[in-house]
Amino acid sequence: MEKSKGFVIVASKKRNFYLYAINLAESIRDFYEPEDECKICLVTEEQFLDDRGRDVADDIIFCDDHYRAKLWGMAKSPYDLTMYIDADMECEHEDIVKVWDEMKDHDMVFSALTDDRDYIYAERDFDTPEGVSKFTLCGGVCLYDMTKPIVREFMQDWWDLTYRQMNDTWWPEGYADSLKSWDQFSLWWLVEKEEKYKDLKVGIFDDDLRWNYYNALNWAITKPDTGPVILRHFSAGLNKDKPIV
Amino acid sequence: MSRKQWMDNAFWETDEKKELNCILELEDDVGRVTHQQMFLRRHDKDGNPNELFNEVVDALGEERIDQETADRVERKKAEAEEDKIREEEHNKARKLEKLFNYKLEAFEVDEIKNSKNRKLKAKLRRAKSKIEVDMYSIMILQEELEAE
Repeated sequence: MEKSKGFVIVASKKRNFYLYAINLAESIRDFYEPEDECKICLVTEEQFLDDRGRDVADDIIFCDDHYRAKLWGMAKSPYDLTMYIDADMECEHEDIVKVWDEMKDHDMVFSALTDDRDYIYAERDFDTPEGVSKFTLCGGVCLYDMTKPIVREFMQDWWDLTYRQMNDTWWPEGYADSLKSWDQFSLWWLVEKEEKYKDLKVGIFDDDLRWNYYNALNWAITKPDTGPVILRHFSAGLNKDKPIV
Repeated sequence: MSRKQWMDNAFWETDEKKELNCILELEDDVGRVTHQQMFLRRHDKDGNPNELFNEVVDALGEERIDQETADRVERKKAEAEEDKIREEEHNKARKLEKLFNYKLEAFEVDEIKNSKNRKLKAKLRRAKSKIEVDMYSIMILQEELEAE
């Protein structure tokens, strides 16, 4: 049987995220052909949901107001092949339909945090008891195969660990407290430190800038090699707290 | 053993070659290397030749300094051009963020929010300027008003 495919978008905590999420979902539908094959799961708080959410989403899951509810939502995906996308992104190219080809033989696929893009990252290098390390995976987008038990387990662990690191019930010795708010840390920990995930096949999108182009990047220095941007990330430039109207 | 050497990136400050910018590299007895950037005039205020100036010119050769001066001008020009392009791209990105927020504001207008015309809404989302956003917003509003 063919694997089901769909997008997961999470909007929690702030109403603006819900508005970003609606915009993202509608922008995916604008470009996805055939549109009736485009499946979208919206994970949001019940208080935010309105007709736009009900119209644009095939599946709706209610979450709580946790700052990193995205990880909870990712673990709840109803689709076999899932493309998670941060809500503050927008689709701007029809190649979005090709996202499923990026799965290849990986278990999960991310965009990369690289040295030449360092100039936009808030915190990337960090001290560990074994020396300096750095985040290499960006959780802004993530393509993963939920038919694989190890992936399902990973997604659940990523959420659990992030939840615990943020409420101070888990934190390894020798790591700065400033890292506690980053889900990239729990991601790094699971990929690099957890024995059970050592064989997990973690890939990077081909020409990953097309799949997660931070608008804060400078186009004169950093741009995709093979085609236009498919998903643009507005993260840094948005005022998430200020009401849009 | 100590060592003193004029670095080969010295350049003229003016076309008249009366002023020179250069770096002196010094190594002390224990191998510590330091650099001193120097600004030298060909003559002192009384019109006497500056020995240090002549020492640099003799050490590096006038042609070499000419070449470095020309190269530096080209390099600075290219850097300025690159900075300009980067600044332009930076401004474009800021403009895009503002446009993104502007579109979201438009989508919060009741008539646009509730419109089922996906084609026009998609055009609004793809708009490249505020004028284009306004234009599609008006088209959606008109359509909603006509439907009332």
